[in-house]
Amino acid sequence: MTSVLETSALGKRYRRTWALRDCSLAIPRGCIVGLVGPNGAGKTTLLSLAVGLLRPTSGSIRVLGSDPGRDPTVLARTGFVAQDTPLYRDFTADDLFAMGRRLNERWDDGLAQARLARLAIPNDRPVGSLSGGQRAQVALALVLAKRPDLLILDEPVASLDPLARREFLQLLMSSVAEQGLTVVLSSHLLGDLERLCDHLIVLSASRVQVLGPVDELLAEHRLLVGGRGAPEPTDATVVRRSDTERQTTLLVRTSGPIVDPRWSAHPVSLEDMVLAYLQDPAAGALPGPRPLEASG
Amino acid sequence: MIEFRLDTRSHVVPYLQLVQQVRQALRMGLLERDDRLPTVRDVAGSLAINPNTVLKAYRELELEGLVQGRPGQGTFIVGSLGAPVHASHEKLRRELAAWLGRARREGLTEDDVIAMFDTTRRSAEGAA
Amino acid sequence: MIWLTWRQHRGQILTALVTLLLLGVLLFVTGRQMRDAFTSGGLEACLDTLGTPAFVPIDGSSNCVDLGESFAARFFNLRLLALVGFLVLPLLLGMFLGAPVVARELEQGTHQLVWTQGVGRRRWAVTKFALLALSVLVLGSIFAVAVDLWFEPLNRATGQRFTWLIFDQQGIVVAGYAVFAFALGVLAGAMTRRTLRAMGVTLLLFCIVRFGVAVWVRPELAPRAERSYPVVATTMPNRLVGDWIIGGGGPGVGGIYDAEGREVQGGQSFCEPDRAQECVDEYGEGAMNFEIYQPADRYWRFQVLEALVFAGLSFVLLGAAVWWIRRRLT
Repeated sequence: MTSVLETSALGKRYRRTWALRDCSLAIPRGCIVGLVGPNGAGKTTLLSLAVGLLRPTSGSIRVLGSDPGRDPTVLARTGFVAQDTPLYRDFTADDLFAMGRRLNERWDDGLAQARLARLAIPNDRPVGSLSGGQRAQVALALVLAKRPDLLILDEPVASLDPLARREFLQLLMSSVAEQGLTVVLSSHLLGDLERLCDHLIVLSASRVQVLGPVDELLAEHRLLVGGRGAPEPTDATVVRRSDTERQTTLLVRTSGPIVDPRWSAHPVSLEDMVLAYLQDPAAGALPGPRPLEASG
Repeated sequence: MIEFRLDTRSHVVPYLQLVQQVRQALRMGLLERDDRLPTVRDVAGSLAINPNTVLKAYRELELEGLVQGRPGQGTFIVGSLGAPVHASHEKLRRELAAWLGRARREGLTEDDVIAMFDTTRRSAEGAA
Repeated sequence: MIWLTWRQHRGQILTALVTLLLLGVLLFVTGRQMRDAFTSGGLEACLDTLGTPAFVPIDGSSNCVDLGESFAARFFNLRLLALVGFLVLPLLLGMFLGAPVVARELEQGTHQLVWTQGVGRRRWAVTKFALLALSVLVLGSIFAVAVDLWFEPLNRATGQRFTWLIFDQQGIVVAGYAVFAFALGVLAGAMTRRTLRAMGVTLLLFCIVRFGVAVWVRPELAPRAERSYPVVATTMPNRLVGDWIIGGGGPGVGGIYDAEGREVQGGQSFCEPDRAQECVDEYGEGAMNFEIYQPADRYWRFQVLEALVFAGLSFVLLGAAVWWIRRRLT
């Protein structure tokens, strides 16, 4: 069992509208998965399904081998930080840790305390009086001390200033190195993705649009610049095309090098690639969703 | 001990940036045999970067025979890049310099040269 | 879970305790005034002498009614205040503790924090509801005992503790109402997802259910007793015993019947033998008073039964809240 999280034709409907549908993927152990997509694309829905806050309308989801909606032991092994890091604002960090200790079997109090001490965050003040960055750190320490196998973060840094964001991500990444976690995080901030994630899921209009290991995706995508009227390369799938009077720019997905001399090929950044897909939800370089596979 | 940095605007993927920095440090003599590289945790924590990326860079360096992981101790430098300049390298360099001189006399700018190099290299790769 | 429940709700529980304490002081002070007046005014001695006969002489020589009326009149304002306070407080206690339990978690998004810990949602809900319901029960019981002590002289002076609104202010039903308001608040909070809205819903439903139970259920908790007694007599029923006269007047439920058993008019009337002719003129020879009532000695039975009704309702509501949280909030 190498998949930490597995979904099959997963769907969630609120009354008439589908928030997520036909979602099939498998997340291998030990990787960091970035979940991106516009607002309302279903990111929060997918993450909430993964921690049992929501129940699927169709399909199935398995986390660490069981159904998160039925098996609380899965929740003890999963750390979840919801959007805007909700915490009991009148609790101190110590109170929150006391809660964590009582509600989770594998709780590691030393770990929680050490992390706060390292960041010089007061643990005897109500967390409501802390800065947003400090609150996020407390929330992260709270889930890390559960010694989870899987960490799920919904827009963890969206509301943080750049310094707080950096500190949060530093703590997160060193913890991942230390504890060997699998992480799924959703983010608006495409710029951070390349350094954080080794796998990527692009959700768009309630469906999975692109997914795969970041290295492979980057290797497969090229930006081609050529004169207007140059025929599109036959051995590549065009994700996006833009034309000026003289010039045509293509973002393509291809498995081999572009040999046609009429096109000059350039590598593309993860951010540009994701944006190209998001601009056109119908663009599918993929024949359809396919499960993520562990990259070698 | 060296300190890694990450250029987010670079088109070079993060793990290759780390690899290049170790190579460069070896060439410049900043790293020598038996020096220890920072732990994966430290690099991940200080750069806020995916630890798998660091692991991948270290694996790549290990494959190149430049470093070696010693269980429980860390990753150590075992190779060197003392630039063994072969005679053939020198000859190629001279020819390239001559070609560049000719290109300049023909009126090619630096950008022209780079564009020509790129397209030629790719068509050569395609043919190979 | 016990610790978490206490940590989250200790503010509310302590506030409720302090409020009860202040109220207790108030009750103690006013209660002592009443007790003093009860004793020094001779009412207590009168009642002790009277005992609890079912019928007392009409002439008023020994039935303590006048003393009781003047006592009740003296403390009229206090009784009015108590009427409002004692009816409302159990509702407030339950509502303020109950409505936020789920609703505030949903409002602040902290359900995402606590429902993703290593205890299941069901255990969270069951433990939390049980502990808080118990707290409300304890607080409500403390309140009920204090109110009972305060009410004792008034009960004896008026004989009305079994009647509508007075019955509802004292005894163990008070704790039952508080727990019911709590349970209603919890479920309303889970369903409306908003504390304020939940409070509004609780207030409304609480009043409806309480009214319905008091008017339609309570009189049927035991078969009604009936009695008739002559209009022309030297004795009348002892009102200070504390019977609950349900059908004292009005068509069909009680009134004055003539010798042939035809209803002449609602209500009761008495004529002492020396003025017997007045009653004979009015109602005819041999007229009888007729009334339907619940005897005073059933008071605690009724208290227990009605408290059980509300305890049962609370149990069902809390069960529904657990179900709702597990099945519908997903």
